[in-house]
Amino acid sequence: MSQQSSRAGGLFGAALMSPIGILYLCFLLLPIGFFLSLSFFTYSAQQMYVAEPTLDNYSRLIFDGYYRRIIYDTIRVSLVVTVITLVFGYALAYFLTRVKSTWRGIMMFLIIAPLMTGVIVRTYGWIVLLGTDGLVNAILVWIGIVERPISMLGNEKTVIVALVHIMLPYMVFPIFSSLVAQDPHLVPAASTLGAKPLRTFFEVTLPLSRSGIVMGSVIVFTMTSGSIVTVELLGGRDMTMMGQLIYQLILSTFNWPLGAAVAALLVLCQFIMISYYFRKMRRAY
Amino acid sequence: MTRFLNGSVSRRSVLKAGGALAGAAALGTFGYTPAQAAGDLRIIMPGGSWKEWVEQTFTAPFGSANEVEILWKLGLGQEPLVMAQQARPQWDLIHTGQMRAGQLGAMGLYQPLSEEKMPNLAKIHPSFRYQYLAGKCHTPYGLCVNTSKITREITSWEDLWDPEFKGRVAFPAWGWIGDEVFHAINIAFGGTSEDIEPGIAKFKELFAENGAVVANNVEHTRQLIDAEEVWLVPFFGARIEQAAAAGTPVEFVIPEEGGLSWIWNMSIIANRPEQNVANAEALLDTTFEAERQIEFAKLTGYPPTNIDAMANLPAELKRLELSDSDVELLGKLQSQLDPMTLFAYRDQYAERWNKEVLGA
Repeated sequence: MSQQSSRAGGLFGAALMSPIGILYLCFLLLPIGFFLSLSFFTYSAQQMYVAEPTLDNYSRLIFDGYYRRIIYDTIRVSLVVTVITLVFGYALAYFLTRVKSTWRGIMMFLIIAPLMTGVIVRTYGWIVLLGTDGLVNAILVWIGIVERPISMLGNEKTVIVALVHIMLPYMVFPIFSSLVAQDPHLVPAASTLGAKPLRTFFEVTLPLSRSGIVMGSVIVFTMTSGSIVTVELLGGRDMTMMGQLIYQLILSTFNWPLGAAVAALLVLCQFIMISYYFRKMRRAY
Repeated sequence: MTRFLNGSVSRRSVLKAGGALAGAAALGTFGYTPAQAAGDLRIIMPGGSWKEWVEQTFTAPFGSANEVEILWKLGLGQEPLVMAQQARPQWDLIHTGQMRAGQLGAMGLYQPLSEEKMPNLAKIHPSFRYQYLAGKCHTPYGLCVNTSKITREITSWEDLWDPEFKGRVAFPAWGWIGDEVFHAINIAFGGTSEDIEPGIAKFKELFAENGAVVANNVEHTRQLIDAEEVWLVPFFGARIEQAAAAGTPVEFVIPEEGGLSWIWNMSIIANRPEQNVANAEALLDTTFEAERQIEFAKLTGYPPTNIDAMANLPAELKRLELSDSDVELLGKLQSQLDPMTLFAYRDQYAERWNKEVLGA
C-alpha cells in the first residue's frame, strides 16, 4: 500500500513538473542545443552556414592569438569582478544583518534601487560621472588634485568599477539570506567557549554562509562573463570580451558558426570555473 | 450549471474545458486574432525615435485608413532573422539602408520595387533609388567639427589624422555603421571593395597614433560631442544640427573627397502572402509621397527624396535644400562600392579591423 502511494505521489509530482519541463525542453534546451550544434557547421557568406561538419571554428578560437586573448581577458575580468564584488558584498550583507530592522529596509531598498533601471542607463550614468566634464573630474579639479580634467573612460579599470556596481545586489542578497538563516546563538556560544570575534567569524559565520557565497559568486561570474553593454560603452577600443564578440559575429558579420563556437566556449569556461569553485569551497570548509 | 455548483463535474467535461483553455492560451500567446488574419502588416525595425516618427507619419495613418493592423518587431541587427526565415518568412517589411538592401536583395530575400505597383516611386530622385530600396529620406553624413576647439578650416577626411587633434577624434563602431564609413574612406585613399589595404593602414595610424576613440551609436556620439570629449568625428548632418540647436558649438562639413548618404526606408521581404505584399506596397507608396516626406522631414531634420518635395521645401526646411553638386558629392564614394564584394568578405574584413586596427 505504501509503495503504491509513493508511486502515485511520484507520478503526481511528474505530472506537475511536466508542463514546465516541456516548456524548458522546447523553448530553452532544444534552441540552445541547435545553436551550439551550429558551431560544428561551416560558415557560408551567402547562407550564414552550411551543414558540412567542421572543427575549424574551434581551431580558429584556440589557435588564433586574437581570440585566445579575448577568452583570457573575459575570464580574468570576470574573476576580478567576482572577487571584488564578493569582498564588498559580504561586508555589506554582514552589516545588513547587524543593523536595526527599520534601517535594514531602507538599505535593502537602496541596494535594490539600481536594479529598477536598465544596465544601459546605469552605464550611461558612469559616463556622465566619469566624463571629462563629469562630476568626478569637476571635484578633482576643484580640490586641486589635477590641473585639468583627466580621461577616465575607455579603460579596463572603469569597466571593472562599473561591473562591480552593477553586480553588487546579485552578491549581497544570497549572502544576506545565508547569514540571517544562521542560528543567532552560535556566535555567543563560540564567544562563551573563548573564541575571539575574528576567530568566531572565520570558523563559524563564514563557513556557515558558504552557500550564499557560492550562489552569489556563480551568478556574478556568469553574468559578468556575458556582459556586452558595459564593456562596449566604457571599455574603449582595445577591450573586447566574449559577449561582445558573440554579438558582433551573430548580428554584424553573420558568422553564426563562429559565434556559436564562442558561445559554447563561454558556457564551457563558466562551467569549468563554477565546478572548480564549488570543489574548492567544499574542500575549504 | 447546477451540476457544476453541486460538484458533479465529469472528467470528460474538465478535459474539454482544459483543452479549450489551453487552445485559447496558445492562440493568445502567439498573438493570433481573427482581425490580424484579415489584414496585417508585419514590420521589422530598430525602434527608438525613428519608429515613433515612421509610425506618426506613415504607418498609423495608413493602418487606420486601410484597416490594416501594424505589428512591429523592434531591435538592431535583424537581417539574420530574415536570412534564417528564408524558407518561410514571417515578416513583410524591414527598415534598412541601401547597402544591406542590395546585399540581401541579391540573395533573393527582398522583392524588387515596381513602379507599376507603387506609382509614387517614379518621383524619387535617381540618386536615392535602388532596386530593392527607395528612400523616404536620406541622411547626409560627413564630419562634425567643434568650432570652438578647432579654429582652422576642416575640408577633408584627412583632417582626422591631424596630430593637433590627437585623442579628440572618434570613429563609428564597425558593427554600427563604421564598416560602411571605413569602406567609403578606403575608396578616398585609393582602395577598392576588394583591396582594403590603404584603409587598414590609415586607420591603424588613426587609432594607434592619433588616439581615436570608438563611437558606439548615435546617442554615444552625441554624448561625446556634447561633452566636448571629441572635436572631430564622422556623423549625421541632422544630428549635428540638433546638437548645435542644443548649444554645442558644432558644424557639419561635407569632405571634399565626398561625404556619404544613407537612404532609409523599408524593403519588402520576398515570398510573403499576396495580401501582405499588396499591403506592403501600398504602405511603401505612401512613403514616396511629397507631402508625407515633407512632414517626415519636419520631424527628423533629414531631407526628402521625392523630386517635388526637394524642389518645394517650406521656408522652415530651406536649410535642407541640396544642390545637384551636393547630392553628387554625397554619393561619390558610396557609388564606387560593390555591395556583394563587401558582403562576401564581411567576416574577413571585420576580423582585420578588430585585429589590425583596434588591436594595433
